[in-house]
Amino acid sequence: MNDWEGFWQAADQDVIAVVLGTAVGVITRVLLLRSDYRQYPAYPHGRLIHLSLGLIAGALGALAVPALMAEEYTAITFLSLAAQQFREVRNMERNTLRAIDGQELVPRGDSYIEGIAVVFEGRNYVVMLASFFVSLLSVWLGLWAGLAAGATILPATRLLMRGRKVADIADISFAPVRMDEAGVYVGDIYMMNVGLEADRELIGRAGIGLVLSPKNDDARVTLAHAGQRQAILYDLSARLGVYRDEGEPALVPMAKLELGTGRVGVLALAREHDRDKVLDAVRNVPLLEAAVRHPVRANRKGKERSD
Amino acid sequence: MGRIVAVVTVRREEVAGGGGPVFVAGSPEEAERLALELEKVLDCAASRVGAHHFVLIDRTPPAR
Repeated sequence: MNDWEGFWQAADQDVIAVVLGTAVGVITRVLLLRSDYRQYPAYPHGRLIHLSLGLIAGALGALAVPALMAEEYTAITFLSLAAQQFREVRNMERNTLRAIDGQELVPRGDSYIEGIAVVFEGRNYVVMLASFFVSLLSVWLGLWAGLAAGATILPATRLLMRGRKVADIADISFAPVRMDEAGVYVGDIYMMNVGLEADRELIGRAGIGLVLSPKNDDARVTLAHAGQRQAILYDLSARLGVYRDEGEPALVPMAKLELGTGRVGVLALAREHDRDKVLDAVRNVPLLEAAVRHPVRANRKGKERSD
Repeated sequence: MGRIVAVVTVRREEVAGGGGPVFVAGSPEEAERLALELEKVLDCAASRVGAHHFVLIDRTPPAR
């Protein structure tokens, strides 16, 4: 105990700042490294890679402050080097996920993969910023200020990185899966033509019908995005299991647009039919950056200008 | 876009033109069974068009 006290007293203010900043950075990365079973990385090696990069990001952010204080302005170039590294992270994620996607029974789709890759890059910058601020405060105001900054930044990063979800833009309701001749419908939304009685029976048994009604005109455009709909299907099958195999071409989960109203009919072929779990799965599908549009706002501005 | 890989029908005279092979069945039940077998063999979903024909459609997305 005495040794530790001695360390903190004897240690240079800069050393304390760097250690504290790096530590906060790494903790931030750990907190942001959510790997539940529908997300990547789900495996120890994936985690190791991201934790190591988090450590590097944290160290760089924390080191920048004392370096700048010592008027070593070239330290800034290190940060750009880090940015280069993180872009590489994005490429790595994209390539891995794309390689895996071909063998998923229900693929994520390119839009979802891009979204995930961007988030992985972004998290590293968050780590770097967090450790930069903690380091800055502890150099300026001392150890306790640094600790306080760390304590406030940790929950803040989680809040900042929490994206919006499908539940924010759509009302979700169940609808019966029904057959009319060869046509399969969810509620009154036409899904597909299934020729064989045997397949229709299977779909009737395993199928869960959902209708997503957009809450406003912006939501309508977002839900219409094919990538967003594929993301919904992927998350549903990951969380509820999927009744599908290669060589069963008729068993395809689908999300179709009802063109007139912009509602989306979702046909999930799930193993889990518990209504609460199904609802929870759809509600929590993340909105993809690529899919989110705000045409209403854009049009309103355009009109004001022309008036 | 889907591509017709094979056609199963009970009314030969209503199907013309070429591309895929046409399988002629003696009864609707036989047509259904033929289509089911072809669906599994070809890994192509069988869709019913009209009352008497099945088409097997290849929907493999184009390679990236």
